Amino acid sequence: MEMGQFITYGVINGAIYALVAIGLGLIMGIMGIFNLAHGSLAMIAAYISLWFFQSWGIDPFLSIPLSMVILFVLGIGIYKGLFSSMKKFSAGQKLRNSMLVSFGLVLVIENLAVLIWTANERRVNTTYSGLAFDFAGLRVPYIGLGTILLAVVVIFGLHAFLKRTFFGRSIWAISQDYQCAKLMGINVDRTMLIAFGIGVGLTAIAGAVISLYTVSPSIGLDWVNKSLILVVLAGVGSIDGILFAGLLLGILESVSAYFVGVHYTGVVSLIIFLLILMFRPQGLFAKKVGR
Amino acid sequence: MRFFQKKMVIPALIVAFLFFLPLFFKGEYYLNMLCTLFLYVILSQSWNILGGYTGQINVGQAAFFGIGALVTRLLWTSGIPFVPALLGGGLSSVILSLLIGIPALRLRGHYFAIGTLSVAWIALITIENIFPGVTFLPGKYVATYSLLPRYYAFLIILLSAVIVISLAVHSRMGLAMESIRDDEEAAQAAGVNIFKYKVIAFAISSFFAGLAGGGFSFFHVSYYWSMPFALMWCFEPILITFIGGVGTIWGPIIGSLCYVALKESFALTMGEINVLIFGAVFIFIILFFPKGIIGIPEKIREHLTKRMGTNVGRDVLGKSQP
Repeated sequence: MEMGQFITYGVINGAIYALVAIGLGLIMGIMGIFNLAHGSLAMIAAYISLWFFQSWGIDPFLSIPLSMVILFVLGIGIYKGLFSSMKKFSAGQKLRNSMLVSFGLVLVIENLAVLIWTANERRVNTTYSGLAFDFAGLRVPYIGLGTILLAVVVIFGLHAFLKRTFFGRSIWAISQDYQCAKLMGINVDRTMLIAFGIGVGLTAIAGAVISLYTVSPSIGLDWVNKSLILVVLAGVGSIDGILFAGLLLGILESVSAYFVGVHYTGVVSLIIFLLILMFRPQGLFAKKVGR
Repeated sequence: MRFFQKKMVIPALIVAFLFFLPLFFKGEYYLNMLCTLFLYVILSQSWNILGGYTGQINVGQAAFFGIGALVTRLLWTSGIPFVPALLGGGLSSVILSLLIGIPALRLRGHYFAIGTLSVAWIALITIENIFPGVTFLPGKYVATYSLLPRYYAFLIILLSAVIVISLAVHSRMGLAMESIRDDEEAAQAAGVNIFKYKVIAFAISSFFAGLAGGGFSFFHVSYYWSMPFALMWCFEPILITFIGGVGTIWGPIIGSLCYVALKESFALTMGEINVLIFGAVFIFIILFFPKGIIGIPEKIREHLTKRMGTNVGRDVLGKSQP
C-alpha cells in the first residue's frame, strides 16, 4: 500500500503543477510568448493570498477571485509595457525576444519580493491544513483533494472556453496569422491584451494553492521550470494535455522518490524532459508538430 | 590582416597597462575587484560567441563554468600543477558541451534555451547532493597564497579568450556563425554546415567558460562545492552581454565594467539590489537599445542625421522587421 500512497501524493503534486502551468500553456503554447516570469507571477499571487489571509482572514480558496482581478490587471500592465511591441514578430523571434525580456522581469520581481517580503519561507495555516481523510486505505489531505478538483475544473473550463467561444477561437486565429486575423475583423490588440491578462490571472489559482504549501521569493524559477516541462510534455498548444502531463510528471517524481531517494526527484523529471525535447519535441499529446 | 593594425592600438595600451599595474600598485581591494571583473569578462565573452554571434541562447552557462571549477579544483588540490589542472578543467567543460551539444543543438531556438537551463539545473542538484560541503584549500596552498598569480592567471585567460574569440568571429567561420544567427534556413540554403558551426561555437564557448571556472577555483580559498553551479552564473553573462552590446567584442567588456561597478557600489548597502537594477536596465535595453551600450552613440548619430528611427519592435539579435 506504500506505493499507492506515493502515487496519491504524486497525483496531488501533479495537479498543482498543472494549475501553475495552465496560464503558461495559454501564454506560451497558444500566444507564442515565452514568459519566463510566469513562476514569479505565481509567487506574487501566492503572496497576495497570504496577505488576504493574514490581514482579513480570508481563506486562500475563497480569495481566488480577488487575487485574480489583481493579477489580471498586473498582466495587462506587463503586456502593454513589455510584450505588445513583439506582436508582429515571426514565431521564432517572438519567442526569443519575449524570453529575454521576461528573464529580466524574473530578476526584477524576485529581488523586489525579497525587499518587500524578505527571503523567509512562509505559508498559510488554515484550520484544515494538516487534516486528511481515508479513501480505500489511502491518506488523502483535504487540501490535496481541493487542488485536484480545482485543477480539473479550471483546465477543462479553459479548454472549452478556448475551443467553443468566439473570443477563444480568435486567440487561436491570431497566434496562427496575425495579419490574416486582423483582416478577418478580429480586434487583435484587444484580444491579445485580454488573453495575456487571463493567462496571468490564472496564476492566482495556482498562487492560492502554493500559499498553502510554501512561499518564498526564490520559488519563481522552480515553478516556471515545472511549467515549461508540462507545456512541452503536453505539446505546445495543447491545453487539456497539461493536466495529463502534470499527473504524469507528479506520479513519475513521487515514484522515483521511492526508488532513487527524494534528493534526485528533480533530476529525474529534468532528464525525462530533456529526452522528450530531443526525441519528441512536439510533445506527448499533440497531434502534429508544434510551431 | 588589416584588422590587426589600426584598431589594435588602444587594446594594446590597455593590456600593457593591466600587465604593469600590479608592479607599482598594491591595493588588494582593487586587485580583487579587477580579478572579479576579469572573471565576468571571460564568462560573458564565452557566452557571446555562442549567444551573440551564433544566435543560440545558452541559459546553462553555469554547468560549464561549474564543471571547469570542479575539475580544476579536484586536479589542483590532488597535487597536479595549476596550469595542467586548469586545462583539464577547460577540456572537461568541452567534453560536457559535446555530450550535451550534439543532441541539444539540433533543437530549435527556444527549445535549446530551455534544454540548457535544465542541464544547469541537473548539474546544480547533482553536485549539491554529491558534494554537500565546503571546499578548503590544503594548508600548504593557503600558506603560499598571494593575489598576484591569480591576477595574472585571470589576465592571461582573459587575453586568450578575447584573442581566440575575435580571431574566430572575424574569420570565414565567424561569417558562417553570423549567417546562422540571422537566418538559419537561408544559411543552410547557401551551403553553410549549420550544425558544424554551432558545435564549434559551443565548444569554444564552453572551453573558456571552463577556464573561467578554473580561475574561480584558483582565486577562492574556500567555497561551497555547488557555488559555481549556482543559477546566477547562467544569468549574469546574459545580462552583461546584452547590456554591453551583444555580438561585439567590446560589449561584454563594457557590460562587465558596469556590472562590477554597480555590484561593488551596492554590496555594502543592500544585498541584491544591483541585480534588480540590472534586470530593469536589461529589459529597457532589450526593448529600446537592442545593440546595448555600445550601440548608443550610433543610435544618437542616427537620430541626429536621419529622421527618428523606430527602435521599438526590433529583434534583439540584429534582424530587423520587414
